[in-house]
Amino acid sequence: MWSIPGKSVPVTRFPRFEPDEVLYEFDGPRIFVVRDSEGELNLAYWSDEDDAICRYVVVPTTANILQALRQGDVSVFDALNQPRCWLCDVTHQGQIAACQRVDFEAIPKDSLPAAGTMLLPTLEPQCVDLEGRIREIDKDRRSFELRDIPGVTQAQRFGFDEHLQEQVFQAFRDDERVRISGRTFPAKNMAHALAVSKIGARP
Amino acid sequence: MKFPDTWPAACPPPDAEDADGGVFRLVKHDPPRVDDTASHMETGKLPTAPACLRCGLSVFREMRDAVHQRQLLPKLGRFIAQATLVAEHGKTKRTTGSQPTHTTWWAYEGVNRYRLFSVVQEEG
Repeated sequence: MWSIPGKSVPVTRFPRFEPDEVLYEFDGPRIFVVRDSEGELNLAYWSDEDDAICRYVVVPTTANILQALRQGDVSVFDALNQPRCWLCDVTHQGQIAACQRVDFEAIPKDSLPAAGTMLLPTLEPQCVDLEGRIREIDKDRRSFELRDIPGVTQAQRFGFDEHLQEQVFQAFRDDERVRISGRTFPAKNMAHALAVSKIGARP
Repeated sequence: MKFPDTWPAACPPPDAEDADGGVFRLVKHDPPRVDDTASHMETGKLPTAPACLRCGLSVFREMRDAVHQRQLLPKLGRFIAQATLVAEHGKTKRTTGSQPTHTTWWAYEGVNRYRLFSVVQEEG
């Protein structure tokens, strides 16, 4: 088992290392909420194990962060990247063997989720490539609706960055059909445009 | 075909179905080894977890769930392995929770689970 510098803390900080809520389970709880000795919320992430212990990354969390995790508004890595962080070693019988305060940045990258990974696969952004006409531009929020889309999806709302603004406005003014390539976020009814191209041209 | 005598009564649950079709699981070795497919009951881990679930093995029905899991929990294994199950391999039940294709597989006694798996993708 790997080791990094840290400061040992009393294991009584987490008197019951049992899930208050399981967020991801596979052969047992892997990511879950655990309460500390003051009853505060902490996010626990299974990072590794050997024959003797499971090692968890434990960080303070909030109800808002947990909700953002469930909804796909924040990645697991970002939810774990907090100013305070502990590594807790828990025996396979559920007893805490040791806890140490560590710097999150010192944890080996292969013992953490990849950056950007959402809690569930269903929350991961999906590539989208749709043809249609741009309608309902919101200049302030930089969004538009794509309509007259062939197939089942009749309309899709897109957000876009400043660098696409002129292309979006031009396509709207010319009332021409365009192809929008972007990413859609399953948990939201919104996609993000990455490229706009005239039909017949590739982005 | 029977389940181990050491398993609790009514395990697998009555609504588990004959094993059938493809399943995916992260493994640490290519080819998979026996410890890649060991249940918690066999390893002695999580003794306070639900007894029947400890006898089974977690698998996914869709590869994309295993791909995501490798990003989420990289220490579970670098390799994605696939097995094609038939009724002689045991019973399965979707035990999804928030994961749509999470499935528990209870293998009959004598089924060498790890031999049924072969690696289909290595971490790129």
